[in-house]
Amino acid sequence: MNTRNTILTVYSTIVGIAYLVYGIGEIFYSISLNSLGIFIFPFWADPIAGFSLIVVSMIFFTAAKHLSSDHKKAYMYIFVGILLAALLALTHVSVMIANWAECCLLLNEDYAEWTWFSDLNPAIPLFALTLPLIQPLRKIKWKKV
Amino acid sequence: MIVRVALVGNPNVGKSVIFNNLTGAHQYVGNWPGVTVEKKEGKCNFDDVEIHITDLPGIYSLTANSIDELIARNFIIEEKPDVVIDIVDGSNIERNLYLTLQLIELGANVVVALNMMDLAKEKSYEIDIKRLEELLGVPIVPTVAPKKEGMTELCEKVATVAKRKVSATKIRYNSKLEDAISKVASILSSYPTLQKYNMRWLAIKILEDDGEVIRYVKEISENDPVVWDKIEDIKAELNKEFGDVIVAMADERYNVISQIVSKAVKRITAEEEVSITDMIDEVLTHKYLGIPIFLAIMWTVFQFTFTVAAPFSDAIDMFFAYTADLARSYLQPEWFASLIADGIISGLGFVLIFVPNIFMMFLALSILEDSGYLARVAFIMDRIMHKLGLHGRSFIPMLLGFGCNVPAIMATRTIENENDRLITILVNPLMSCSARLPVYVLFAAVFFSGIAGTVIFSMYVLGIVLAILMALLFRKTLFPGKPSPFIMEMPPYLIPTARSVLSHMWLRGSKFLKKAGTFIVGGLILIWAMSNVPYGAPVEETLIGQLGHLLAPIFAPLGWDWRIAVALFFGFIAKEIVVGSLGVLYGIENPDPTTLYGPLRAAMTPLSAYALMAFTLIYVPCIATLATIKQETGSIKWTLIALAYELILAYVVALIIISIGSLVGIV
Repeated sequence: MNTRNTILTVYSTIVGIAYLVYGIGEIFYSISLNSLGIFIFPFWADPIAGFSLIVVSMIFFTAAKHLSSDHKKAYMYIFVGILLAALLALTHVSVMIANWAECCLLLNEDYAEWTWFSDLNPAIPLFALTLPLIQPLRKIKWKKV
Repeated sequence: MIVRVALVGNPNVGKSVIFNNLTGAHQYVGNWPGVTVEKKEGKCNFDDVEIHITDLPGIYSLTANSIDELIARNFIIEEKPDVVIDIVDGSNIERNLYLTLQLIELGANVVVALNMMDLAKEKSYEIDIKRLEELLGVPIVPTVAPKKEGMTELCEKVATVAKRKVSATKIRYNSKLEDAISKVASILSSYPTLQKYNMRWLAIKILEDDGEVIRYVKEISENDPVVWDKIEDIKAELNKEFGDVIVAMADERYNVISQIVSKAVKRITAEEEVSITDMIDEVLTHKYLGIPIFLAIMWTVFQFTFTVAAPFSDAIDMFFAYTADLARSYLQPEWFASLIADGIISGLGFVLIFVPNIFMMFLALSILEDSGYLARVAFIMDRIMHKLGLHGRSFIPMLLGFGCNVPAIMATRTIENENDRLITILVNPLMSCSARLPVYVLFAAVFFSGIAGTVIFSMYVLGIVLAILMALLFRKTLFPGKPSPFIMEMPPYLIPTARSVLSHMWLRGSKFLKKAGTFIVGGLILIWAMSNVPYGAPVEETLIGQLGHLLAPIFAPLGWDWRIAVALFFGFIAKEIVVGSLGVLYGIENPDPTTLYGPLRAAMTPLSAYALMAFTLIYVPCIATLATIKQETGSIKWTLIALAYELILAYVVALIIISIGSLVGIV
């Protein structure tokens, strides 16, 4: 395995671990502390959101596994992993914007204490972590269909 | 001059897009095979020619196995259109030409629309149109339907061909097959009634063991044993020679196609290139990751549906609250103000505030559908579905059920096996249609703030799980046997266009608006009227109160009061009425129409609310769905079975939720 692939393998594994840790954390947080009314983090944890993070982690782990043998296949997993990570981040950003509208435009009392930080779900910063993986994908020759 | 034209072609080649382009219609189109299951008609004018166009369901060949295929074939054979536009996918030309050859064989007046030329170019195909025209002997028009390219040329060609029939190249089989075809055709020609058909084509179909054609010819020939013995002898001889005549004929046709393609189509491939479709499919259809990815994507759809729509819903809510207040302040007499404010405005408001949710859900589903992902879901679910006795193809009608169960049940026409089809029809109402969404959104917001998106998502998952379990039960009891194998063509992944996605969203969402403006308002006025007879009496003593108290004991074990019972009762007409009814019923006692939250929280617990959501998901489908089940099964028995099992299942599931929840200490 060349140095470039080694770096990619290590980085994909790190991204996978990060998603896995936060995914498990969010599930645990939602079914234990949240349900007891304890809020350590600003956002409301959701077990399925946690599950979705774990799914992304599995995709990056599979990419890392393939990097040592079949790099083309590995890129396929990195590509879809980034797409799914982007979809999750976009969903949470949409939630942020919707809640901002409730608070600032509609002056909804339920959102009086809302801040941008209230909706900062881990899916958003975690997506930033996947962005460096776009670079190796750019070197592939793509066919559009 | 009037020209009758049929649009035919393989599934998912863009027939409906071309139909819409030519006629200006807004027929539903989608990036998966089997969108059109019935014929649609429209017309357009070109110079002095009035072109009457019929869009037919997609077919791979003129051998009909499913209802939609039969509709298409019978139209071409019985109606004999002046021109048949055969839409061929230019990026998949070899397989598509199989139908073209069969149409030529039938003697149809064919014009080929070589569609998806942009995709063909992307796939590095170079097609020599002139050479292809010479080889097939029919005119060919290159088109790119979504960009409306080639539409004028297509009309021009249709007008020309309608005046002068094309002389297509004759397809010749090997001498033994040709000999058999001639013998059978000669036998058939002794029946004058069959003269209106192409004898050669009838002979080929009989040799190919086409059930419909054989049944028809047997009827005409009064099952004459002399005739059929002769035909059976010819078939037996061929089977001895070729093993399987159907395969031999298909091989011959593919040989012809292969020769044509080798002369007219070139492909310049660069080996190092990676196709985006292959890349995405490797992961999205992965044996283990496929289903978790599907669940994650569906979760984002419902998260988006609930949260992003919330500010729009709140704005609509504020508007209706303000309007109801105005009506109450200015209208006289009091009963009239109550009718307008509490009956119509509040009731309608409680339905219309869910319009943003419904539109957002259709927006998200349209993106998934147009991208080509929907077809993949059918593929990844096939493994599980097959094990549970359901056909993988059934999953597409089930997913369509997320929009509305009526077109979803009609979409089962693409399923060839009758037992598979009946099972899919029976379980389809368990898929949560958009009419149930308002109920989920309301109760999720009231009782499950913070995880509302997930609670709504859980309803959809519950629907899928119950549908699969019921399918298994039906397979074991009513329809024993194994499901037929699942073969489906995967459409390419496409980036959905804003125009297409918004048009899909509007087409589906506007149905909800139309319903809201018509019989939902009617239903709500009826409920208001029943809650005011006798006028001035306490609501519990009115007609609606009496009906509610009659129904209440049935729902008492589930912890629901008489108002819920009434709302569910009227939900039988359409599920949208459930929320509107609650608005009217609670609004009567609590004149603040802006929110149902308080009264609902007082009347129910989160557990009983969750059970109610599940009950709404499962219990009787709306009248329109029942009518469609009757139409598609042709049987009142299956309609009643669908009605009865869903009522029982809904009650049992709700009771299980309440019981288990209570056992583990959830309230």
